[in-house]
Amino acid sequence: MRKFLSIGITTTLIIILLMGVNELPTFGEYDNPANNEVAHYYIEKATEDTGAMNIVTGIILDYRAFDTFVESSVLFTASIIVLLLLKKEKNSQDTEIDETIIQSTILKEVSKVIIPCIQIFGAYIIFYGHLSPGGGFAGGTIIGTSLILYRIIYGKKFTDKLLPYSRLIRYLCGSIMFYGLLKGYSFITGGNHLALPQPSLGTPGNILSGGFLLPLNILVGLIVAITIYFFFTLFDGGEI
Amino acid sequence: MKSIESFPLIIILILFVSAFSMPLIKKIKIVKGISLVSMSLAMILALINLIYVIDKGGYLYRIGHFNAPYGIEFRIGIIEAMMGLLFTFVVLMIIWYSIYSIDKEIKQSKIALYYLLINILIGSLLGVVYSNDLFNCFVFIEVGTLASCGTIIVKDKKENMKATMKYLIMSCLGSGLVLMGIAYLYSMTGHLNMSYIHEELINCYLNYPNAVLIAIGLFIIGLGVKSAMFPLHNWLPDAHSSAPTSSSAILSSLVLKAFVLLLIKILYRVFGMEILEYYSVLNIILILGGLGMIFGSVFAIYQKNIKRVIAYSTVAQMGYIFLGIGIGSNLGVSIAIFHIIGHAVTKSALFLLVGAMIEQTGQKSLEHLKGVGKEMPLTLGLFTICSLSMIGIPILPGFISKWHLSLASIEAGNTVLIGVILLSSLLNAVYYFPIVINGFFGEENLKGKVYKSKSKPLKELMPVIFLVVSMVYVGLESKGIINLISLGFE
Amino acid sequence: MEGLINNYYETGAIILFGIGFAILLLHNNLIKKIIGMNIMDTAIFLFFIAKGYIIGRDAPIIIGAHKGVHGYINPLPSALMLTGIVVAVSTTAFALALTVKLYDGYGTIEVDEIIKMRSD
Repeated sequence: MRKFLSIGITTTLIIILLMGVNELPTFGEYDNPANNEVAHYYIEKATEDTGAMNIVTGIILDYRAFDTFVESSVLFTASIIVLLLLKKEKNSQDTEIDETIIQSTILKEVSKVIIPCIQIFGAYIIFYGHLSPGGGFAGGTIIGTSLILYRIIYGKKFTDKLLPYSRLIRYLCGSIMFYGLLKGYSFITGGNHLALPQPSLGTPGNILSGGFLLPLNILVGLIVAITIYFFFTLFDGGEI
Repeated sequence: MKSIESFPLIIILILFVSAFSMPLIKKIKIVKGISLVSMSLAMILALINLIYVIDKGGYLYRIGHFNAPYGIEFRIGIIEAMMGLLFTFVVLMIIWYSIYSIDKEIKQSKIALYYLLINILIGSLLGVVYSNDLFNCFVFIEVGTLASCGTIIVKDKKENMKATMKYLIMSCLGSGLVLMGIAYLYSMTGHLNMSYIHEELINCYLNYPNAVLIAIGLFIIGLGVKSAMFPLHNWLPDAHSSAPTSSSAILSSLVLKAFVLLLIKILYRVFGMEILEYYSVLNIILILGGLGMIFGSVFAIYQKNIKRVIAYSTVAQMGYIFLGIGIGSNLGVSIAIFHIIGHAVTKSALFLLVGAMIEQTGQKSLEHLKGVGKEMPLTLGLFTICSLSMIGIPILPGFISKWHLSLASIEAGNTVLIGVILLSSLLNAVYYFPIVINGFFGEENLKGKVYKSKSKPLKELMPVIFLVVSMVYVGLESKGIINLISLGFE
Repeated sequence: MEGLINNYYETGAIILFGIGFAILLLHNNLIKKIIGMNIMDTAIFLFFIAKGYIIGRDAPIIIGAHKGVHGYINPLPSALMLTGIVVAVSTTAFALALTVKLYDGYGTIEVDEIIKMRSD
């Protein structure tokens, strides 16, 4: 009975939504209402206004920077809530039960070469975020994955000495507070039409161009990497 | 002074940045201090902003260096400034109350993270109220959902987990529907700024008759799930009754209201009266609001746990607001916003008082709370004043809302609604009066209770006294407030 | 009907949305419900991103000379959905952490058995 009701509701929903899609403008035409002067302005003026060659990075970190700030705080809030739920207090009398330390030498030796390569690749995507596809989010995920691989291969005790919880949470909170202050400075000077000094736009095509874009990409990458690492360690036993 | 115009943005930034610093601090006293200081600073800035807006009129404030539609902008009118002041004031009182009571409800290690979640929640609610850009509002909705689920989950009990799971899944469904509505609107008009969408939509809504109707429906259902419109309110009693005291107060009095305010903004600023009358969707909201008013009270009568009674009463009161929106005239929407203000102060005071009663006596069900009036006279006295406002006694804000709603429904030519409003007031009395009467009177109830034995000290009840005083003030000054709200329309 | 066939991306996205919604309603296991929620979110992203495409033009990254306004697709939907994907990831992480705690508390992750074990 309940199954029929659910299938009935779903089919009604799909049919109603499809009746709406029937009338929407055709896919892929160049004179759709969505491709109006706003899109043309972004394509033409993005390099002049923001100094970025990747127009999408220019949009998310300059034109609509408030959205990105709130989205970073969504990620931060989610990691705090998962911390609240799953973090276990360190019991010092607990012996090391079910700590599966991988004994394979091949893994350890190969990882000594591969993990730094992964991190360099992630750092490249972050630093070149405004010149080629990528940006802080993609690069941060790659660096976070490399930290997870490190923890799987070398085990909990070894990694905890290298990346203790207190240091990681200090970096996380510090970088998102710095992001808020940096962006707050940019917003308030913009909203009040003040002409206070801003980082220069530089020549498009260099790394050190784009004003705020490079520092913001780095901060976002740091936030995402630490959040992804926290997610893995908290789901995998809850002790950091 | 032009710099007062940036105060809304500064409020949101202060709340977020002070929240980000809280996990680093080890001492709990400093965390409580930071929370109080940041919220009082936010309230003072909101007050100055409101005085500025009443003087000089509403304005648009751009965020960053680019004007709309290329960038994001805030639109601050009288209604938004009043909501800013209301939210910060109520939360300041709730945080003040919670400084004394939160140690008994959750573990010591989680208190810092709890205050972080409260700050982020209020920051996101203010962002929903102030913003003039649809996608920006959507991202703020997401932060608000996550933070409010977080404030329920701090208490580590099993029924909290179950209630939060239901709340989370239904909220995500609602957000998904809202995002699909934004996608439909974007593909028809190409803008994300509310004023620009309105201009485009007026020109071309006849080309897409079905799609505009579907977009309106998606927004109503999506935001209705989040603000407890009648058939979609199932998550509310579990979530609000199992949360810690201060969380239930914030959730019931403020979180639902911000989403209803967003619905009002979308219906009246993005779509506008012309499109709404062409499709006559406001009648559906009217019917659902009326049903919510009656069934919320009917369900409340059968509950045994006092917190669930008050949670169902919230569903009924949200029905009044939807009735006001559904009537569709200027007076109807003004009364809906006035009811938001009145209900916020009343319901938060009610939840804090009930929390005090549960904490001191250790009992939750109505059976065991009989005779509590002798043990905690001040608490139950304040509870009586608030419940009189809910029922609809003159001078208090509940009566003013019901009176003006009846006037608005006569003006719209729909006299059945007056019967519905009267019926729901009677039903409200059926479950509020027994609590008060059993608390104060009745010989077998008062046997064995010692006078003032379980009263809370006066300094811990001060915030509730402030809330009740402000409720009476809102009732007395209602004429002025309703005039101000009507000024905020154009 | 030809509107549906021309907008095949949007039609596919809505059918996917329906499939995800059905999974959310029909299955009892919490992990499958979370997977259904994820499929629904992904369908909405597909719907939105399909709005930006223009036939015959490049991705909005300027390599070498600027091709002018008519050389690139609409960059705005892609930028918005970057935000959307991060939000979906956060919600999924929260829901999965809740599932772990529910399993610790009740011993099962089937929803009808949890509802039966009401006031423990």
